[in-house]
Amino acid sequence: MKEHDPLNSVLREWEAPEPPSAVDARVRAAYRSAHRSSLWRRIWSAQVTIPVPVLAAALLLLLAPVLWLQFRSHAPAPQPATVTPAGTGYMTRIETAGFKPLPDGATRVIRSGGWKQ
Amino acid sequence: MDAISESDSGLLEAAQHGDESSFLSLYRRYRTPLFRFAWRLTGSVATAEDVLQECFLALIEGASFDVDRGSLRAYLFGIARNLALKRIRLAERESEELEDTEADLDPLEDLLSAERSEVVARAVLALPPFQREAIVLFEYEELSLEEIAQVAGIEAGAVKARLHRARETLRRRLAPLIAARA
Repeated sequence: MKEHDPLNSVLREWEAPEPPSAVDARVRAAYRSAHRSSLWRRIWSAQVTIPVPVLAAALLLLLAPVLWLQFRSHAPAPQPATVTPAGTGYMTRIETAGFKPLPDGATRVIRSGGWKQ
Repeated sequence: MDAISESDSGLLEAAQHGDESSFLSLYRRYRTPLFRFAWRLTGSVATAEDVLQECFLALIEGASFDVDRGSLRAYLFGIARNLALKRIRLAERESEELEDTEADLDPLEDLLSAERSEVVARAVLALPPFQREAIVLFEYEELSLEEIAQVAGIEAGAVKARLHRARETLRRRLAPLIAARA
C-alpha cells in the first residue's frame, strides 16, 4: 500500500525501545508459578498413546472374568428326577433330597389305603 | 499453514504442558514485536511490560488458539491488542483531558521544540485507538490486511478504511515533516 509515500519514511522515524530485561524475568517467574499451581491440571490432561490391538487385548482381559461369571449364572441348574407311574395317567415328582435307604436293604410293601399309623 | 506456524503450535502445546524451554522459545520469538506494539498503542513502557506479561500468561493458561483460524502471531497480537485497549480506556476514563488532542498539536512548534520522532509519536498516539492499532500493525509490525482483520476481529475492508483514515490524518498532522523530506 503506497510504497513510495513519503509518509512511510516519516513514520519510520518513530523507533520503539527494546523490552527491558526485567520483564523477561517477570514473565518467566509468572510462567513457573502458573505451572507449579496447576500440577493437578497437568495430571488430568496427561495423554498416553496405546496401539489399538493392545487396547483391545487389555479390554478383553478386563472383561473376561465378568463375561465368564455371566455365562456361569445363566447355565441350566440340575432338575430333580421325574417318575411317571405306568398307567396312572398323571405324573408325580419325587423329591429325593434327604432320602436314605434302609440299612438292611429290606423292602416293605404297603397296600393302597392299607397304611395305618 | 507455514513452517513457522506449525512449529508455533507445537511449541505452544509443549509450553501448555509445562515445557519451559518451549515457552521461552515462543516468548523470545514474539516478545519484541508485542512489546513494541503495546508500547506504540499505549505510549507507556510500564504498561507495555504488563501487556507483554499478561499476554503470554493468557496464552499459556487459557488460550483457545486454533491453527486453522490463523497464525499464532496474529492471535498474540489480538490478545495484546485487547489488553492494551482495556488500559487505554481505563486511562481515558481516569484522565480529565478527554478532548481531542489534535487541537494541542502544532507540528511546526513540535519541530522546533522536540525530536522528529517525538512529533511522529505524538501524531500517532493522538489517533483514535482503532486507527492507531491499524497503522501500528500495518506500518510498524508489517502485518497483512488479513492478519490485522484477524487481530481486530473485523473485515479486511474495514481495516483498509481505518488505515486510509489514519494515513490521511497523519499526512495532515505531519505535513511539515513530509514537506521537509520531499
